[in-house]
Amino acid sequence: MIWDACTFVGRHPFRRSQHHSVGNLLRLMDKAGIDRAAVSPLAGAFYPNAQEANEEIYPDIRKHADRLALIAALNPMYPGWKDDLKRSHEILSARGVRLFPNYHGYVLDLPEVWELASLGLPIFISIRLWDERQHPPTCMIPGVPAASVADLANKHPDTRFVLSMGRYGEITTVLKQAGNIFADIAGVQGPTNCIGKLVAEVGSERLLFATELMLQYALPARYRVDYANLSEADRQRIYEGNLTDLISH
Amino acid sequence: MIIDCHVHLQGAGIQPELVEKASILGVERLCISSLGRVWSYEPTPKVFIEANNDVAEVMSEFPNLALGFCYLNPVYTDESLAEMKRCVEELGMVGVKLWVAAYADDPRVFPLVEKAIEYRIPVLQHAWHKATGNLPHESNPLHVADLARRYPEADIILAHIAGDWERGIEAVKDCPNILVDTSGSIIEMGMVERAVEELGARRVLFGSDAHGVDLSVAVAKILDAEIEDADRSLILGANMQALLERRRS
Repeated sequence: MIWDACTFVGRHPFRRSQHHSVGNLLRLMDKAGIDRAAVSPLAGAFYPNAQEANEEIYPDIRKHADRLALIAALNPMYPGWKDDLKRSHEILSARGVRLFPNYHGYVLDLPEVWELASLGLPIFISIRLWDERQHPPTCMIPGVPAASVADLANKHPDTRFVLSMGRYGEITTVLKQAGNIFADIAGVQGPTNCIGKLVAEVGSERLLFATELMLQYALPARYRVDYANLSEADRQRIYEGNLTDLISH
Repeated sequence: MIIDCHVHLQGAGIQPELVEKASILGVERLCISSLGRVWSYEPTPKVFIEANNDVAEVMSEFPNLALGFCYLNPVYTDESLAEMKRCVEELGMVGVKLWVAAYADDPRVFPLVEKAIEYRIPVLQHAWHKATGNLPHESNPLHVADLARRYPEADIILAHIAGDWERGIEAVKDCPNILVDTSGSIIEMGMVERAVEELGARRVLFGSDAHGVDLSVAVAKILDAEIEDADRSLILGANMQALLERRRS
């Protein structure tokens, strides 16, 4: 079983792309041999009222509940966010929430975020969506400082956080700073044998396989893991076990 | 045959891990340059001569794997011309690598390109359009297009499809003597397909940018692209092989 910890559906805001539907996500997952995926709405980063983005994709997601788990976009600076969270959790069956702090214009060291963190749901934090060098002039969004995720995690040791789209150096630094941070590998493209080296540095217990479909190709993530110098136990944890543990509590 | 047209040494050498991965992934040739043991934006002749000597050592160590590209600094035009002669005629290198010491259309580049035309070897020119700002003298794809229009008989490789690949493709599509390489950490969905659609598969080359980028990631990006298998074969090796054979013909 291969679980993808970071996928998106929805139209690319700045580029023509036909890969935006749930159907296409499933097709691309099949092509890359991915069984299940945690999925969030890409529009969740761009709508200030992120809940609207969840509502948009939910009807299609729920038809494939055997393969897709909603990680609800959430903007804790938006009025009514607690109601949104309750609805996402209880009605939309969200298995966690995804924050886009720099797209929604806040830092993590705020009472609203502390309150959210105290609720105990897994919190996925997209520290970037794509390489900052590629941003269009209308939407230059710096990455969220990874250290701020570690600070938040250390304040809430009973909540589990996922550093999403971190680079190699960000992941190794932050996972050493807080034991309740996981990291997806969607943003790790190097160096040679990058996943083997990551595991040697921080262990495999908190690394999550992720592609960032449909913004990125899926197969590079598979190859990163398949061709890394890893034990089968490490590979299994990264592919499946860690995410299963994280979102099934 | 798979040929990686864009590899750099790490320090003074090549990591055994990269050799191992190349073998496992079926990458039979690595086109290798060195940007210096410590990367230098403005290498002195001493630095680029040492870098090229390091490449020559690797070529000797791995004669069936390593093909050398000589690193030059156009600011030192005379020394670079002498070094190109040494690298091509004495050390058997098969291409030129230019990085960020001068814009691609700087007149100091012209004598080097004229010499490369004489040798019938390709010039691999780094380029990127960075939303976050380029380095001083770092070429964007328009600089490379200017150079290519001035020397239509030169074979010029636009590295990384200029990072911002949509822009890079548009900038060079009317320059038939520019090929683009797919190297680098950007694995955004659609980049290979768009290059094939706009430029034709014969103008697209597989590259990794190892050691910085995991070779498996770079290979998978090409394998995952939704293109014809015949086009994939051209990209993975046949195009580069044809380019290298021009020197011998």
